[in-house]
Amino acid sequence: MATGENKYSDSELVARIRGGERELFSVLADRYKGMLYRTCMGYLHNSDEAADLTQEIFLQAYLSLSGFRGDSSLSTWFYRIAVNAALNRIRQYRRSPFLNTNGSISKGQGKDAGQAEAEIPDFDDPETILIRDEHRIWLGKLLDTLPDSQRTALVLSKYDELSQKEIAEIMETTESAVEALLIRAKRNLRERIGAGLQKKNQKERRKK
Amino acid sequence: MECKSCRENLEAYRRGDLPEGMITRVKSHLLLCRDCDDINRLEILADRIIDSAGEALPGSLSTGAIMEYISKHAASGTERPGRVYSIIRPLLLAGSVAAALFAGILIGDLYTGNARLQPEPEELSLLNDSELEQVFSLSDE
Repeated sequence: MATGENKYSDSELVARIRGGERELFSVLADRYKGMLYRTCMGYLHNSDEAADLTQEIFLQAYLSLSGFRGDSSLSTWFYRIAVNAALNRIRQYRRSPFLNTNGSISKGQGKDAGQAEAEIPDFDDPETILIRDEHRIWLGKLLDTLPDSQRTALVLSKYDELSQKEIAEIMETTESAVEALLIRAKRNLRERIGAGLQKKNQKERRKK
Repeated sequence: MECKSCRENLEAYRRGDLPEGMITRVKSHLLLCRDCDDINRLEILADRIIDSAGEALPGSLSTGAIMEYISKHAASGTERPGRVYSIIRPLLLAGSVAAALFAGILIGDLYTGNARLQPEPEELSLLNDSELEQVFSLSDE
């Protein structure tokens, strides 16, 4: 990919790609792959599955680029495709759990399903602990207990570090609605963590 | 300080966004309350997991690999239809629904029409309207 193409704005690139220079889509892929991969990790918590989904998102975007009207920014458009693709993938995993290779998606949705499965991992010193797969699986299952809208708001806020305004645009809702979703999501997670800890402590007491 | 209040302020405490007095209160509570301290540490762990999510892109996400994936799968598929199709499609759907309704009404009407053309039952054919009039004229006498 020639470095010259990097100076073009998103809208210029889209116009040229639509005009027949399809190979320029690689510039968009390079520009947005990191962003979309992080979003997918927020939903799937598995590197291989997130990479696989990111490729599919780019394919969808490539095939439907003629449908991009320019009402929103290209990044917003990419995020919308990513959120829909990720939620569809999660629903697919819930229907067929064997597809979810690392087990990070609960078989059912809702606090009871996740709470039963999201066992608290080791956390003696969270600052220095080496992040392992079991930690990602724990967080994945925890996030899986949230309703889709709360989860999406939280992923876009924490993984993609987007502002409430940007999240509202992606989710096609208001900023105050996003704020409410984030408050509820964080409260729900805190409650689940608290419940998980209680369960862990009870288990330890029984062992003694 | 109550646990509920402490937990609600943990995120702000970690970011350093609390006033000095509140920081001291949260800190003191965390030293005394094991449950709140555990929750704080788990939330720190969650933040670390999130921060590490996009640290290194896997090899399958090189730009070349993405474009190869697109070439492989887009060759068999077609581009999504453009704006003209997105206008025609709903019109075609509406037309199909209208045609189905019209066909249903037509068939129903034909069925009812056929029912009217059926020969009248034998019993009714024995009745003669003109004879009925004669009965009335007899009754006048």
